[in-house]
Amino acid sequence: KIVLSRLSRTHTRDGHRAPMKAAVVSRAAARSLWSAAAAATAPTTTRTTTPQRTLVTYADSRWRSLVICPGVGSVRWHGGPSVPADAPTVSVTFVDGPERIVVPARVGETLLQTAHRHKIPVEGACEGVCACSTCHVILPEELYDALAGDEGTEPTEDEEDMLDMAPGLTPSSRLGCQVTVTDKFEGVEVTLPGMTRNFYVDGHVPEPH
Amino acid sequence: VDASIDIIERLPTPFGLVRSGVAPDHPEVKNVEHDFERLFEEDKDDAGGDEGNEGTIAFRGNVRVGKDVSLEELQGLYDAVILAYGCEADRKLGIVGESDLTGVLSAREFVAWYNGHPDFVHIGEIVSDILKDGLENIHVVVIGQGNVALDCARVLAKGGNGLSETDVSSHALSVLGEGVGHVTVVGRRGHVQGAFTIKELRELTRLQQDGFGTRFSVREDDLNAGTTHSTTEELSGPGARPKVRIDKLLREAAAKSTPPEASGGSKKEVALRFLLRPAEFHPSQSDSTKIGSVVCERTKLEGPAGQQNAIGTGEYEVLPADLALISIGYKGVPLPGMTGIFDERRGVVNNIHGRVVTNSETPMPIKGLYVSGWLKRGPSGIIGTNIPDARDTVASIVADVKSLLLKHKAGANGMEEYGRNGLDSLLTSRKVRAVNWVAYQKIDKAEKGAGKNDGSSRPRVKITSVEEMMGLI
Repeated sequence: KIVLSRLSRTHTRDGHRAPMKAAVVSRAAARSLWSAAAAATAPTTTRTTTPQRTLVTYADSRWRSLVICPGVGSVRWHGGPSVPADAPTVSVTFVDGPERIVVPARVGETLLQTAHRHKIPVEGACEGVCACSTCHVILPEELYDALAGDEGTEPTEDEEDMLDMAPGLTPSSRLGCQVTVTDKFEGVEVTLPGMTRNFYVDGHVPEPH
Repeated sequence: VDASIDIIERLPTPFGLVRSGVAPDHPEVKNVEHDFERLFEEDKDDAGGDEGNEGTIAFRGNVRVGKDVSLEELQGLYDAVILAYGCEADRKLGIVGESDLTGVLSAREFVAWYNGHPDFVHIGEIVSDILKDGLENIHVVVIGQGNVALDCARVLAKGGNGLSETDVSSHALSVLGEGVGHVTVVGRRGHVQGAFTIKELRELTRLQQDGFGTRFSVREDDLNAGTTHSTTEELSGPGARPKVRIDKLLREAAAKSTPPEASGGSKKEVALRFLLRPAEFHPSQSDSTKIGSVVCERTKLEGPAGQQNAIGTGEYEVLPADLALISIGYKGVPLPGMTGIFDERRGVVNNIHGRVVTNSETPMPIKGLYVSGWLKRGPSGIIGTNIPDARDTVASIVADVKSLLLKHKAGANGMEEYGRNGLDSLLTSRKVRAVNWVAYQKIDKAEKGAGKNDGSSRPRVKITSVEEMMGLI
């Protein structure tokens, strides 16, 4: 079983070193991805497109290593409704640093459920019951204001309490597990906070030993 | 790179503070255990194997590093060793009576006791002796202003009756009964400097309306005394949002505080007091071996925003106390044989981005040794704080992978077997019964099942003896 969300680069063509992150998820996955990467010459990029998302892979010949970021594992439905597969969908774009992942979100599910279903790296440590801040997402201001202006969709006191602890909080931040997708979400961009992407908050890149 | 990861734990049960620290009435916080469980259950080697089918990540419980296997031996067996054993000691106040009066405990011990940690069952004797004469007139003073202090206050107030549908330990259920009459949480600085988070504070303010018969009180005088010019700055800087909301919550609560007579039959009270620094523990009049009161000095705040200190004013207040819980911070301890890398003052292992380095003037990295979590950065933050912390350490490991593998290939350790097989062989030769994931499942099922079988709605009845756990396997 391959569970991965994003591969990250060690070198780009202009020599800029991007932050690295990794863990091997399964030996089988590692082996197959290793040979796929080894087949590519470096520094180079290959793009593979699945129906749902674009995987961006890079291989660095100097390192000859493939760095894989662990995905969030199997989907968890603990917090949030069970929305059937044939529900109407809207196109939502998750923005994660330079990556833009366009996915069909089911109307009626929470943004956290959407993210997990499409292997977007949003944590959700408490499994969507508003007891942590790891599903922190940043909405476009207009959408945030629209939701805040309605009693049924505004953040509750409990959600605000949890948001207090989210690093990189913005005025249009919400918890993904508390925001329900509606048909008004068509074309919406949901931005993941910097913390989910970078190992080092200060942009530090580790030198190999 | 193929990786194989073994998690070594002293107790037969995994999950550390998620099991023994998180309060029993916060079960949703424990959902993160499912994330951890998946680590062991996913990705079993399809090739099978007779050792219960372990995958990339394996659990080895009931293994004590420093006793069953040494850190040095682990460094020889593995390419990388990550120290992630947290903080299991306490910061001390260093005041009179702290170590010799019965009834002065660390909050850490008290929490571990009500959460059923096998090493803290004995705390129950002390607590039940104090509470045996009637809970209503009991005064508990909790010293400290973090979430652990608030957890203690809330658990004491709710009592066993208020926790009957949680996984609180059976021994605490009976000892805590209907909850104690008076809990006072004291801190030497002001409410804006407190380390607690608003969720836990709000819970305390709602105890009455949530049906736990406990009044909440906070004094407007305390709040105002702590609102210095620097505090006002702290309430307006970037990142001030959590503080602003806490300030608002407490001011509203202070305005609403009703006197005992008027609060419709709630016999219990939790009070938050600020700007009070414990100076001495005094013995009880009736039994000089037991604590009777905490003498506190009134403080005032001085210093720039973000760095205010509590300065004594020379005025004192005496708080009656049958039990005092000191909650001023956990502290890390070095493993047996750990030399040159432990910072005694801070209670952490010296490191740079998770790579362990020596204490010397020019810190030298120790190849293959890493640290993560509280032992790395100190005992602060919530569960989620450990996510970026772990990523930081793992980034260092990944950057070092090449050189670590060279060490492995060179066979520098001279051991016959390497990694997991090597560890298992070593433990077997020493007659150490390690608990793997499959074996832990038996303990887990027994605990969950016990709640169902005794007719209660307790989600889990924790086993509080290692012997009993090992007997199940």
